[in-house]
Amino acid sequence: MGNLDGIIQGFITFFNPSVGIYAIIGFIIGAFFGAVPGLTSVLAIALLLPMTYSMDIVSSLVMCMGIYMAGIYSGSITATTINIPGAPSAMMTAIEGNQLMKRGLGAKALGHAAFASMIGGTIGTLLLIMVSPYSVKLALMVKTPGKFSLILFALIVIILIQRKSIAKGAIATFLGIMFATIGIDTMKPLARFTFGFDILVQGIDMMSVIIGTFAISELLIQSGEIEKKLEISKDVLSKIRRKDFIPTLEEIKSIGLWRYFKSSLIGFFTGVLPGAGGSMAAFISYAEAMRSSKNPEEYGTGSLEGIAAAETANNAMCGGAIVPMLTFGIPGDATTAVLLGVLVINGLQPGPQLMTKQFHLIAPMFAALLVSALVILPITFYLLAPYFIKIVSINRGILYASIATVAIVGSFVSTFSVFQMAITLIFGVIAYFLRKQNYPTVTLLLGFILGPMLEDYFRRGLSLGHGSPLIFFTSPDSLFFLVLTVIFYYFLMIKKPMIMKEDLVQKKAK
Amino acid sequence: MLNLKKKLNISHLFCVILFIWNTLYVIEAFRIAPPIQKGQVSATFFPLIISFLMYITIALVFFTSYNQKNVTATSFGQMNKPALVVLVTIFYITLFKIIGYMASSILYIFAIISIFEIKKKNILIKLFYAVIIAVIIYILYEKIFLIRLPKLGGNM
Repeated sequence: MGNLDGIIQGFITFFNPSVGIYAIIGFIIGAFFGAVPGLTSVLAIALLLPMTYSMDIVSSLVMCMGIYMAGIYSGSITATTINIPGAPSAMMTAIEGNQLMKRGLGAKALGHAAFASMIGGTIGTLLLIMVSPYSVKLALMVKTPGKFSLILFALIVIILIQRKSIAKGAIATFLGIMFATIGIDTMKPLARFTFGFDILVQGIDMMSVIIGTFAISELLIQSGEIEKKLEISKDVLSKIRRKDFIPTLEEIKSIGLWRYFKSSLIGFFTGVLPGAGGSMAAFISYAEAMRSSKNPEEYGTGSLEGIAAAETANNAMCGGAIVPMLTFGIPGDATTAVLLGVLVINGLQPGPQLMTKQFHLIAPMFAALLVSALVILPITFYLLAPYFIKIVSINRGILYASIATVAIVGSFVSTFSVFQMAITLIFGVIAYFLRKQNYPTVTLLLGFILGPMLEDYFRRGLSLGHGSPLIFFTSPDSLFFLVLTVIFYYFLMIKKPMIMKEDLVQKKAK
Repeated sequence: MLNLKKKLNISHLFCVILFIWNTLYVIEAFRIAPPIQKGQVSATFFPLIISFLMYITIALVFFTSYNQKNVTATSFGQMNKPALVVLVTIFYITLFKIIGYMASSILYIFAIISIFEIKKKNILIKLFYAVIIAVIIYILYEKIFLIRLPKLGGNM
């Protein structure tokens, strides 16, 4: 099946109401989780993960796409209204949006954020559709030693991108790799690292790690911060009127179509980078917009251009992050890491085979991402935005009691094992302490997912090279990724571009 | 001595825990097999490389935080409520298969609402919420997604 035919077929499948409805459900769930500070689209997909067992895989993926797109965009709602980003990727939006809110232009800021998200999400998805056939061809060229070097490259970049603490990022990644080694060896029928407990022979279920790391740890963090109750005043609500949301043509022209397109490109390619995610996409785009702006003095005082740059990029990132996840099994950010879990748990193995022989399962996902950005986002925003901002005042006891129960029961239904429930709790506690000590938990999950692949290709590579590690330097594809790793190291660690100077730009904006 | 005590914080304690875990991991690796057997890498070769790198990074974090002037320390008092959540979750997991989903979940939700509440609410109101949430989640899993949950006595 040609790629275009596959995409058209994907859209036909998506527009079947029994499938398309999941995108709307997912979008509303994602918007809810994105709008509540502390809750994220990652958590939403993690909680829904056990339910995907009994769902059709196409519907599951379509729903996840709705959550993904909505979760990124709706973080701008509380970022603007109460200066607390609902999602980390809305941090730059908070700087400009809240200034506009204080001037009584909150609805205008929200409208521009939604419009920019729509543009970014659409361009990012179109790029995903265009790039994916080439990325499959590229993936087919990479052999075993090259796959090792590619995953090594991904893990090193993921660690280097942890700007505030690279060493802590490395520790979390190593912990993830270590936990993944518990159970049966990847190449021989040998139980490893069971520490004398027979029950550990079955290994640690990915679902338990995902739910524990993202849901239980969040529950524990929030329980320690109960006094920080968020209320939204009636005064704020009265300032939000639906008719003020729509951006005028003049405002869009003043921002410039090139700005939207450039931010989309920045977002997309940042998304392709392993571990970068929406926050970095928004930040780089915002910094670039400020650098090249005709009115840089407006930044930090309520710049619509700044909102447009950040929101376009973080939604364009969604398409970019999916490319390495589908073709190489390397997630671009936390949400795609959990999404990878959805694929694996449902028996799909990312790689060129998935993108060619099982493309009929993936194409509706692309359609869902595009329709979510282009149609569902503006409609949902226009209809529900005034209600979404009230979500902040939700009863946290009821909210977190529901999340806790869904999370724990969810970890049970994956294996019908109380042991995996306990593992979920243990991972929740580990992730809680890691977060309290500023260790990134996303790298823990990525280490857990990529660790077994890294070891597998490492040992297979050595086997192909008759025990000599030189094969990783003589194989052209492997050498390419090793050189790429050195180049990234140079640019991220030695040259230190603007992405490493986030605090500096934030201070400047303030 | 007092100066040293001041400089040591929970971040160091965390490094020590990671160090102990890493050491146990290394011991377990050597218990399974030596890293190289018959001239070929064994099942413990790769994990031992990771452990070696782990030691280096733990040392790096330990000494970096030792030299940091403004280390935000987390007091154990801040962990009271998270510890309580962990405790009730342990009880929930223990009771889950024994008394079944519905009864254990109602108790669990009630406990979590109580931990999270700021203003004291009537017990009956909290119980009402607990029952409603447990029923909604039951419907979600059992009726919509057709996933069986344990009944009283552990039957599925």
